[in-house]
Amino acid sequence: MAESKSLLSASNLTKSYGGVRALDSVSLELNTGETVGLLGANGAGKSTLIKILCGLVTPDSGSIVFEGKQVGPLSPKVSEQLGISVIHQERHALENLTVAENIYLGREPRLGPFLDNRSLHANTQVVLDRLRLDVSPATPVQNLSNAQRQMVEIARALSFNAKLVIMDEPTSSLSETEAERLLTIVDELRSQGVTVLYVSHRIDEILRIATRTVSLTDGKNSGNLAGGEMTRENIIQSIIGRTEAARRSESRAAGDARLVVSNVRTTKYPDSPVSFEVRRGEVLGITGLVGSGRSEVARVIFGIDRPVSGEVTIDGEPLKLGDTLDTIEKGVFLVPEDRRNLGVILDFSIERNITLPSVKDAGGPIVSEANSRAMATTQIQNLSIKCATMDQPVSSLSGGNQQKVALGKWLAKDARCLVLDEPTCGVDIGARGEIYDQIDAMAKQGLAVLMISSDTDEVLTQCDRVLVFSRGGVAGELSRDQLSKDAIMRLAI
Amino acid sequence: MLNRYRKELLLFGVLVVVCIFLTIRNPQFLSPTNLQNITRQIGMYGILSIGVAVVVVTGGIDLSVGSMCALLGVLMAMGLVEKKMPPVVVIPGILAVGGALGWLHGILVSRLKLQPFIVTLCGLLLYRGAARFVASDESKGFGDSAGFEPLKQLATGSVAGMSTAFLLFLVVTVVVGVLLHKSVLGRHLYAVGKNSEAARYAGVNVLRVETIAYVIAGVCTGVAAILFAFYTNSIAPSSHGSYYELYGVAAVVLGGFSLRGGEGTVIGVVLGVILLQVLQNLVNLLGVPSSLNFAVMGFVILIGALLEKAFQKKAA
Repeated sequence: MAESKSLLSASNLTKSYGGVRALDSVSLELNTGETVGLLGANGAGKSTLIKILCGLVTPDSGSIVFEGKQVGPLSPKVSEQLGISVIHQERHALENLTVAENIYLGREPRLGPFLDNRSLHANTQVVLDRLRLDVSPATPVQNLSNAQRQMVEIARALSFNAKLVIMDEPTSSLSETEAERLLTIVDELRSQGVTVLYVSHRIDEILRIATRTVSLTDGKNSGNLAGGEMTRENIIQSIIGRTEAARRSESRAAGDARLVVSNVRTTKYPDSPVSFEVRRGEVLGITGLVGSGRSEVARVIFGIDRPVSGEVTIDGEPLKLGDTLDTIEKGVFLVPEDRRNLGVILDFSIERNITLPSVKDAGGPIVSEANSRAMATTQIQNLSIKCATMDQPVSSLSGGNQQKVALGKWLAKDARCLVLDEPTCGVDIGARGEIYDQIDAMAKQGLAVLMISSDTDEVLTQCDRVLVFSRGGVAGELSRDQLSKDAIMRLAI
Repeated sequence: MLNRYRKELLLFGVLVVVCIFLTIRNPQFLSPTNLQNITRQIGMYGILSIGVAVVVVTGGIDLSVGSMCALLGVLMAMGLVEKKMPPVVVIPGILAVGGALGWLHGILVSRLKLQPFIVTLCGLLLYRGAARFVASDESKGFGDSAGFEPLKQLATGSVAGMSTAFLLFLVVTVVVGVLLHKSVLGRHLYAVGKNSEAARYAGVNVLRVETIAYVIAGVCTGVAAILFAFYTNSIAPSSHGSYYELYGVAAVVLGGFSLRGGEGTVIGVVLGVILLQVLQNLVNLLGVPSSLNFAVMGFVILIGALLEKAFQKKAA
């Protein structure tokens, strides 16, 4: 295999969503038979880049050359024909089918009108052998472990004769031994001349298998490393970026502890007990990489999930864990990350959404229309929700205004603690400021505010204290003086 | 405003057109006897359908109401006639049994997460079997209704030219209308139907709200069962109430409800029930072979669904 033969050369890729620039003149060079690590913090543009390569997203500008030929607009089909395969983070294997059926789904070998099971299994065996995978083609996928399912996905990619395999956080749901097995397979692929673009937060893995690294920060290339430059320190530096956001000038005066989380072990990370407290009048930030167990803790606090063990109290009163109604009764509210499915009811009007948690508080069984409308008006003004009337469905609002509705429905009730999971994800700059003002106002009223965020700038500017999560546990706590992107990234990785 | 009640207005338009057509073809349609008769049918099927509507709002369905009418009818006849129990005991008892069976459906659907279709399909089969078993597969009746004339009057009588069953239907409509459109529970019912997870995240007691919907359906079925029983005066346990669940679902769907839940108004069900009964009447009055009865119903519902889709596209 000629090491230096160029396989893919993408240059000046730019892509904006709404007003937000996700990718800004990004270039990527991949040679045949090398393993390249793609690194970047949450929201750095890795996913957008991958989506462009597999044809799911069309770039606003830029060009892609594959095997020396300029390629036109990619679609998933074209991309697959070229030999680009993506192993997505969330696996798509159909559980009720067998390994062989999954690998050849949609292009099953046939004998006349009938399935040719013999060829199907023989072909599959060839691919499995290439991966030295010890499962039978006839095994139903539901009997496989997470790692084995991932291997099946890779086998599927190979069955297309993929020249470039893109792996997006392939080890995030694997145990250590399973991950090790996967890394061996990546090595194996390289020796067979397959190029691998390996996307991961885990620097150790990158150091172990990658021949080069490409880093992205805020949608731009922020450094390529190869050979001896590839050290942990250099990699961290390359993904942190240079700009440091302005810190909040004043610090809020925090009082005594209101929300106390003690030794909560979530079902996803039963080996990592989490303890912390949120004080009166402070905004506590929780950050960490995606999948580090932040949202799981939020779901336990709000009573959606029952923890393996642990206790949560509000002003000394224990919450009935796993009972959302009790949690809300006691004044602990959650604005969930999945705004469109959980935060609001899209087909419902603004008024109905805002008043949904509080209509019953008035007492009687009949809704007072006047009260309900007054309540909605207050929140619409308070949060400057941009709408024609309060009767229009929330689905007709912009993301930022939808989020204001999701927040506004709790402001109409007496809150003691507010948990915000990614409160400004997909929210434009203007609405963002209004949401921050509201969070600030609530903290000043003495609420305990817990803000979960992947946006480091947001954490730096809005929070008084920050917990960094990693692999299900609290990796460290940073006070206002200790806060910096650098410090957060070091704890998160 | 017009847009909000688009479906209802459309339905009302269709109803008016059908009525005018029918009057022109056979003026008998407007005769007092026919009107009294048709309003009685509307009243009985209406009460049944309104109960089904409440369940459909939550995204569920109730297929058991027909069989439940048979079971409750048989129980009532046996209680009143064979056991000589006083009506003040039997009538509340029947409503309570209806409510209890509804509660059971609700628990199975909400707490045990069984699919509403399956739960109430099993109800359909179970209650039919129970009715036939309890009655030893013999018809049960009220004879000359001696001792409970007022009840008979409720099903078959009339006040100022209006059948009492229809008046009772209006009362039920107002009560359920207030419940669905003016009450806290109503808002919760629609929220659960639209998106039960989001409703849960907003602090709605989803399990309770779902269960209550089935209880309401059960009680409405109880009321309808009493009327149907006295109206037919003789309950054949193997056939009484057959297909009534489909009348219920048909009226609700025709009335603009989505089987996915979260949509529809009480006015819609009322119009749906009226249109269905007028169509039955049409089959009789125009001398259409009665074998085509169901076919006409199916055809009109299909046209309604197509029209609705066409209007939806236009509005979008």
